[in-house]
Amino acid sequence: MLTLENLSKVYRTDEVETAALNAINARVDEGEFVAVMGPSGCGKSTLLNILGMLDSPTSGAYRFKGEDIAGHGEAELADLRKRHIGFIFQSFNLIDELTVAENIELALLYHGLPASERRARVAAVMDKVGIAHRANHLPSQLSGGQQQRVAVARAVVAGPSLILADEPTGNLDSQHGAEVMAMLKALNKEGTTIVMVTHSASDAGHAGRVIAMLDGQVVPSTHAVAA
Amino acid sequence: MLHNYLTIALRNLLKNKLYAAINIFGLTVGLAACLMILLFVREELSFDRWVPDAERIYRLHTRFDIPNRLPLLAVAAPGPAKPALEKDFAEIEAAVRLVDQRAVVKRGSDVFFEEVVLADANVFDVLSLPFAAGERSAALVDASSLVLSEAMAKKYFGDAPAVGQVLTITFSFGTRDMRVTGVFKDLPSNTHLKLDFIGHLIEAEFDQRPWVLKSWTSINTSTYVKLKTDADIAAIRRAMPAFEERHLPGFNIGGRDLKAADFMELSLVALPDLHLKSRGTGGFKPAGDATVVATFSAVALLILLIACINFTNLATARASLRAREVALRKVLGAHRRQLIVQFLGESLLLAAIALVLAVGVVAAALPVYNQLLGRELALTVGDGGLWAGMLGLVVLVGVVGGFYPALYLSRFAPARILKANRSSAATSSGRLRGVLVVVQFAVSIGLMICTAVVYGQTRYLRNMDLGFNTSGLLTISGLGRDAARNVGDALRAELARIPGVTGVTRAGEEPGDQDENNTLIEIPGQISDQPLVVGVSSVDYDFFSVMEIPILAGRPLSKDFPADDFDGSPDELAARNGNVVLSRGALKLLGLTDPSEAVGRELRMSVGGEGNRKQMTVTVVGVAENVRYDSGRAEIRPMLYQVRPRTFDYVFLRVRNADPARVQDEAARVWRELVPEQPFVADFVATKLAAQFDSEAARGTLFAAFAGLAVVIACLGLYGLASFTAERRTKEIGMRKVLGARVRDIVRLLAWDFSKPVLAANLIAWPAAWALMRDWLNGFESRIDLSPLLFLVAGSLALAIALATVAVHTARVARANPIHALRYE
Repeated sequence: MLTLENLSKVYRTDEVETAALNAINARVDEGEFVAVMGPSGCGKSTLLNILGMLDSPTSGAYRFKGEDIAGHGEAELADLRKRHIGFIFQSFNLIDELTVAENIELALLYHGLPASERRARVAAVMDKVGIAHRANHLPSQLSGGQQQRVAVARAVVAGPSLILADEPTGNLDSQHGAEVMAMLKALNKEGTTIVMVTHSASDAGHAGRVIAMLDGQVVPSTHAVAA
Repeated sequence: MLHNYLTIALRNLLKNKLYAAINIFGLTVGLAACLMILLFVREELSFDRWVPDAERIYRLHTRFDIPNRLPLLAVAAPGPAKPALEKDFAEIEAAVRLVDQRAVVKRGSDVFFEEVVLADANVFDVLSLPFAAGERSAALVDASSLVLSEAMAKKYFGDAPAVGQVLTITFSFGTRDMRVTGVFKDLPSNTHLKLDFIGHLIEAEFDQRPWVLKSWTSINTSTYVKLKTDADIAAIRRAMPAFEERHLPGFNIGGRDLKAADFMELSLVALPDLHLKSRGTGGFKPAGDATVVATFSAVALLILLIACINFTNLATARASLRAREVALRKVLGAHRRQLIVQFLGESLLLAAIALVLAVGVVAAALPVYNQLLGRELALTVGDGGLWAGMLGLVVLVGVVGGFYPALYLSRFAPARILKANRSSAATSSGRLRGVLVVVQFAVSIGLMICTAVVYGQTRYLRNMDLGFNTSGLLTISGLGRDAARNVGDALRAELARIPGVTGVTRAGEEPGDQDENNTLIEIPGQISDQPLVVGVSSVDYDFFSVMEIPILAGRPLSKDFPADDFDGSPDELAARNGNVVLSRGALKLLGLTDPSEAVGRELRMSVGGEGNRKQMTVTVVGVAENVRYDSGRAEIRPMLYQVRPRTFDYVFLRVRNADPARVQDEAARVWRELVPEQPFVADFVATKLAAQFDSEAARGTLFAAFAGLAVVIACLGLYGLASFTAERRTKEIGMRKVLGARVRDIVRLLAWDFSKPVLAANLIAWPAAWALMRDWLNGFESRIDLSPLLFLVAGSLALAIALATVAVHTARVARANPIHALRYE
């Protein structure tokens, strides 16, 4: 589903060049659950941003579903994103001014769906993540675990084939973290491909495969672990 | 989608109340000012366009190019021009003359002065005024026909039908019983016309006053022509010089042949242009001023610009607060275009909210505004143009104010913002904000300077020494009419007996009078290369002492010298010598500077009009100081004073040490006793002259009000920015304090930061305001100097206001405990 060939990302300031990613080769197949691990500053988040088309590589190729996205314009990337990719962030990134339902609906807003269908899908996904009773609350009125459930709901409501999760449990206590991991696992079972950046070995344990990174490179000892 | 946009826009407004209030208040005030100015400007531009066929109706104007002075521009025309035009130009469908007469209208025992316009019978073919009663085509059939306005019909006949009623009207040439044949609808305020009564113009009735209808060099008629639909006005205009050559007379003065066509020019001005694009004396009412319209429009735009800048600045300053939303929307697949649309929509929403409030403000302010402007502007629901204008304003403000923030906000790259936990959006918009604040303050300072200059000049003109004492000077008008003139001497004697009256004199003109009476003089034995034109004023013997006009040399005119009396026909006058007093300004015509040199000089002077122009010799017996009878806008005219009792039209009473109102009442009693058939009309000169400045003063007040609003809106924006900056710099200031800065140092630092844009604004505002105001002041003969002090004061004031505005935030931030500031990360 995702193929990276010799992918590099270099951040340049006037004086200094920093290679965040250095000639990475990797692939993620349809239906996989991959965890990306590594110490702070190893390039995990940069990799995730590139996979999510929020950032572009300096060199190398990134094929998404066989399509090289180099040269795609901002609008084309936005379209790919909204059709195929759901995002989950460590800091939830809910919009404070919108209610739970409205935050989730945001993910359907740019799909050109009629309001009635949007409402139906939002209601269904809220049931699924168990947040329906909080539909009209603002994010500030929820606990962290509840907020992340909303964020998960927002990521999946449009039915993406790929979910990119950036330390989804980083801001949660272990019980709520476990809930979120269970949700991700269930989604993966239903066929959704998941790429998750994490510090937590126990979270990585839920993944089918771990990609270990160090200093912008994939550590060769990458191996598949039993699910 | 729209619902989501609206939800988030409204919740953001509610959440950031200060920000919302500043924006909405600023835009409301800006839009309200703009709407009011637009209403005024629209009315100014709409003048006379409502008259049927306005586009092919023209008025004939006259220009006299008189040597040694500014041209005399008049919106009136010579009486014989109308028949000559009709004869010479086949393109003319109809032409009409209007002669404005001050007449006494009698109804029972009540007498009123009214302006009665005498018009050729076809007046309604040219000016097709809508009628409320009577038949327009048959309204003016003979000398007794009278058409009046609805307002006059109500005044004289109440609710009874006016048509068929009779009024007795006394004109300068005699009395007519007139029967009402028609009532026209009251004219709207957007017309140059002022018509109450219209009677039929009978040429024979002006035989004794040949200058009204028969003289080519006297201009006493308003002449209108209506062209045929296919006529070419350009061709007619090209033919006017030849027309002038054919008709304007020539005359011989001192052996020199002069042609009126050499210094007179006739021109046709289209009806819709009369209000703003023509200048000159003799109109029904004061014309508008294109400069005022342009100035007010510019002020409206500037105020709106300042409000838009607030919007832009606050929106970009607070952009980081919206950064996460933008990033998320992009992550979720929003295109940049969709985000731009969303943010533009928000600014349009804000503008629309402000407009609704602005309409309320305008509705509340209109009565005062109308009173100041002397207009009847209104907000009406059925006014399509107004709705379109308001919609246009909302779009303009929304797009101008919101475009840059929309571009800026929609540019955020989501990866960086979402990763780093909110905040830390790039602040590259800081420099633009700085520039925009400079623009706001430049406009504000410029408006402050202009306001001060306009105020100072108006005040200067109002308080200018006119050369005579205006205080306690009461004028009574109407002396020139038979009823009053016949008892003139008795009236004078009785008025002089009123306690508190210390002097009585008479004259042919009064201060504030716009009419000019000029004649040609020559110096015997000296051939001048151009005609010498001097203003002629007819005054009574003790005129100079009562008016308190200093005599610089020689003596005033006096009863003791028979040659001082100019009574008599042109023939009689030409047969004898006469004595005159010149004004100091007339000396230059004689090539003199020392007043005493002029005394004893002889001049030749024209008397009588066309067909009976005579030359008489006059001796200068005295020189009087210059006086100004008009506003300081015009130059001082060279004057020649003579005693010509038959042209006296005003009595002047000097009141001293007495209650002016009581003296006026006494004078009215005397008048009613001696001249019961004529109304008593009197004014204090000072009041009357001050009234001349009323409209200018009102405009000045409005200008000041709008300038004040601009400053207020600019300061509001600065307040908002300061509050934001203070928040943003909390950490930096905390660090400075940890490192040993005192509150005083922090205050100085912040004050200097906020002073910089204001100081920079002065550099733009000063030269611009200086250039503008110098041009404006150059339009006045007497004017104030542009003092650098004024500029310094305006600049300092702006600085003081700006610092006072940001003081609260500065103090709070400077005093805050650095621990709080540094705990945030």
